[in-house]
Amino acid sequence: MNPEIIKQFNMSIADYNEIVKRLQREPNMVELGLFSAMWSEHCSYRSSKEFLKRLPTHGKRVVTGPGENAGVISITDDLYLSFKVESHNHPSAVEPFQGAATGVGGIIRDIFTMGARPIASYDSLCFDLPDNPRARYLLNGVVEGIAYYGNCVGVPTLGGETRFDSCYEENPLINAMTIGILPKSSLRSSEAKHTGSNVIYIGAKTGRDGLHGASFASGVLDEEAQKKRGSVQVGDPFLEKLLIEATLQIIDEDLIEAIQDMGAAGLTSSSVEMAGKGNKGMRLNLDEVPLRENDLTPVEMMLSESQERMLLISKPGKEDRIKEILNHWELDYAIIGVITDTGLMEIQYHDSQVASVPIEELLNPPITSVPPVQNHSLTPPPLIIPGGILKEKVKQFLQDPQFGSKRWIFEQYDHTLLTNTVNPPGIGASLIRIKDTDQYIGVTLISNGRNSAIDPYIGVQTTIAQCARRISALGLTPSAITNCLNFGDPNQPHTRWELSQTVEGMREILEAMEVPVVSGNVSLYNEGIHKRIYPTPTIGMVGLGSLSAILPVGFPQEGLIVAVVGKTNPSNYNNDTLPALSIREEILHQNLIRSGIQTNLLTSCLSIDRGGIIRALQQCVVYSSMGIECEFPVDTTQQWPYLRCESNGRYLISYQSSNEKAIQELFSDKVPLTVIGHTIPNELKLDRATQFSVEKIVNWYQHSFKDYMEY
Amino acid sequence: MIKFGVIIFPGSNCDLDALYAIGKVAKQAVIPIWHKETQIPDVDCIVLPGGFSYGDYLRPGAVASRSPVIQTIKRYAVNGGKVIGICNGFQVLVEANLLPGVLLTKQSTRFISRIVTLEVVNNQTPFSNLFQKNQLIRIPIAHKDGNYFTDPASLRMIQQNNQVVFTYQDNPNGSIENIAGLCNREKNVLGLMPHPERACESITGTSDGLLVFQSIVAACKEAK
Repeated sequence: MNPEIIKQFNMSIADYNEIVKRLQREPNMVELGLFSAMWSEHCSYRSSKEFLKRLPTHGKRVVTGPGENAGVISITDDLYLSFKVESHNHPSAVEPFQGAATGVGGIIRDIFTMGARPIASYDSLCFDLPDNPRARYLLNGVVEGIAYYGNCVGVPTLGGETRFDSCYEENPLINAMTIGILPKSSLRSSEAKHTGSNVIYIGAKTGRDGLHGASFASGVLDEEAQKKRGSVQVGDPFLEKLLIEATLQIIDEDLIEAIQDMGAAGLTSSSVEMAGKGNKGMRLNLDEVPLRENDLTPVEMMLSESQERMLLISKPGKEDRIKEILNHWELDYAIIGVITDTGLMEIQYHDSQVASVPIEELLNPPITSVPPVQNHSLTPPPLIIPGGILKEKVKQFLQDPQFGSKRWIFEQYDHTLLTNTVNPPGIGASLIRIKDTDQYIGVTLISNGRNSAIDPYIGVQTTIAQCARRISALGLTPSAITNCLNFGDPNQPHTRWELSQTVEGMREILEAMEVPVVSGNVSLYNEGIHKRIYPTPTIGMVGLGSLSAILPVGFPQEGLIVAVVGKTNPSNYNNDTLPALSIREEILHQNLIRSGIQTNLLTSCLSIDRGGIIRALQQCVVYSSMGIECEFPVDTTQQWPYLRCESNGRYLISYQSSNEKAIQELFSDKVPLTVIGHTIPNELKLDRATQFSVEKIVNWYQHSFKDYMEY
Repeated sequence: MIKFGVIIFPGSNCDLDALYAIGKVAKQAVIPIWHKETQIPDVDCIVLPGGFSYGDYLRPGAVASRSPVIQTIKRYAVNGGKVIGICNGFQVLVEANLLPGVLLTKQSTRFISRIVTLEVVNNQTPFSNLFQKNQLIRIPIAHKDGNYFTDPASLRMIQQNNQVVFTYQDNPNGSIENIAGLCNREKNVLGLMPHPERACESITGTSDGLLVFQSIVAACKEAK
């Protein structure tokens, strides 16, 4: 075949030769299209599989681990929770609004495909510093896109994170996570079960948008890629809302054997994966595919990434009822194929066969394996220590947009819809009640590329420990995670070293905490012309449990004792090594904190992570309008490092003085407990020379980030 | 028990919240009604919930206001039936001319979701009779197109007839005279942008909205 054509499919000559070898003939255009999509990193995980399989995926709550559309864990015997995080980095870098919008649409589809009703979404956003106008343009478009899609589709967006670092200048990261709940009886899989069952297409019509999207996302973002706006899909949240209702009704009435959404590589990946999972074959008739334009070619139909489409395999005889439900919701419906026992993907078009290839070959690309080589070329510059006396340093911190309120972002997202939101967005971990039960869900979604660039092994462990602290500070037990690994070109030895270290680091801490990975996604090739991103693993953790008390975010009244649980080690501040992490201590502290909350000994509890004690104090002051008078346990030269360092395993708690003895007993000699002051009205008094009014702190907090976006 | 009907359009997404708030929290009878129905079952109050009916295509509420059920609701309202439109439901009511005025895009053009403070300026309606006059209440808003506007002559009429029921304390969207919710001349049709159905249990931040539904129940009981 003409090498130009092979290149158009983003395929290497080596891969092409491999196909010829396996088929023992040249593939035709349609077949080449199938291989190009299925062998892309996006669909096959060919260069990350060897790492991912080392992650712990089993646990007593796990119902469905990685490999399905989303992971599922049990909340109670009859109630399940499904969740997953997914990236939409490449599309958002070239078309921020639609890129982010369709990212939200895609992750929501993954959740209701499992039979779950989506109840909340989260977004982790990493951009260049906000003084770069292009970063603001991209952030503005991304936030608007998330709001447009999430608000209309009816799934509240309850939080996430926003990070700024110049390594994301060319490759911003947009990772979206959705959670959903389902009764046990609604759980569905994508595995084809019975030969002869009908394959049904539902949802939007197929158009030319998103052609080659999967292979586009599996290459570096150069100037050529920037022209590929046509590879970005266009989303219609209204249609997806109808699709949610129709799909959940179809599942509720038990009309289907299997279901899969058409995401990356559209009809190709959904049909191949469904048949492949059940060791079956499939015969598709493309004449039946609902089309937006009549002149689509078979290759275009197979590779289109038009949004809001699903593939179902019906139970025998249930087709008419499925059609009725789709008519009610005014959605397209077509029987486009049948399950066979040949193991082949056979495609018919205009009465002739246009493709016939073994599904096994499509699902098993040659594994790319470059030996990992350690490389520290990405070592980030040390943190800048603000100048001046303590008061000056604290003031600069309190005015830093990185630590300022992200209200400008989260107020564009509907976050009160569905009436389950207990904690509003903006405080790190969200708390959701589950109606008609005594159970709560805690969710947090964070990343820290800078830490991973310094040390990918400890970096990801620190992120996971922070997630677990945030969940524990709600009073809940960390239950499972989903992860998105945002890395550079996987064909580079250093990227493989970063991946390998990250996965090993995750494995160690997750096994110790007994928190499994149930879903995830890999986004590679996050490289531009000049820069590659820090290795950025994004962790979405969910915690479960019942609560005897829901703690406020800040200090509820004056006269409370404020203390730090865990050891603060200021000497770690600003080194090019990361603060030490003791997994054993993390677990011990989490258990003690949860028991302090469950026995009603604490009046507030916040995990101390990014930004250190000063950040936690800022949050408590802002959310309660209550101040604090500090008594520092360190001398004046150590005050700033003490306030700002990010030692692990710590929490900022407050309690009534009448509970002092019980608190001492709880932590006793197990954990260092350092009283740092007591709550007072109206002022943050760090020492005699360093005092700020609560009003001023709130004002800085509300404006430092917002003023960048509205000027 | 008082019986509510919640209308569902394609794209309604606050229907489940309304059904939950009325059924589980206010403990009244409530049924969903699909927008293609032309016969409405015997209900004491009809709720048009929030959401994005028909994806806000054309204008918010414009397509839904041509749904078959709207003709029936018009007859129902003319006969004194109580109708409450929340957020997108309010947009549908003005598009259907059941309420005066229009709802424009808010001044900053960005969607806004937050809990706001409202003042109850008229407590002599079936939707507000359990509030104190001038009571301040906290209820969430979540919209982009809730900037209420009408011409000076209609505004005068609205004010003379005491049709304004709720006003914003800190106007979030540019609404004329800070109007957050108003009713028709006869006081049996209310439209409001804030979401009382999201403010029925204190665990979600505020329960002030529950009094809206309890007011309706009280008014319906009195009428019986």
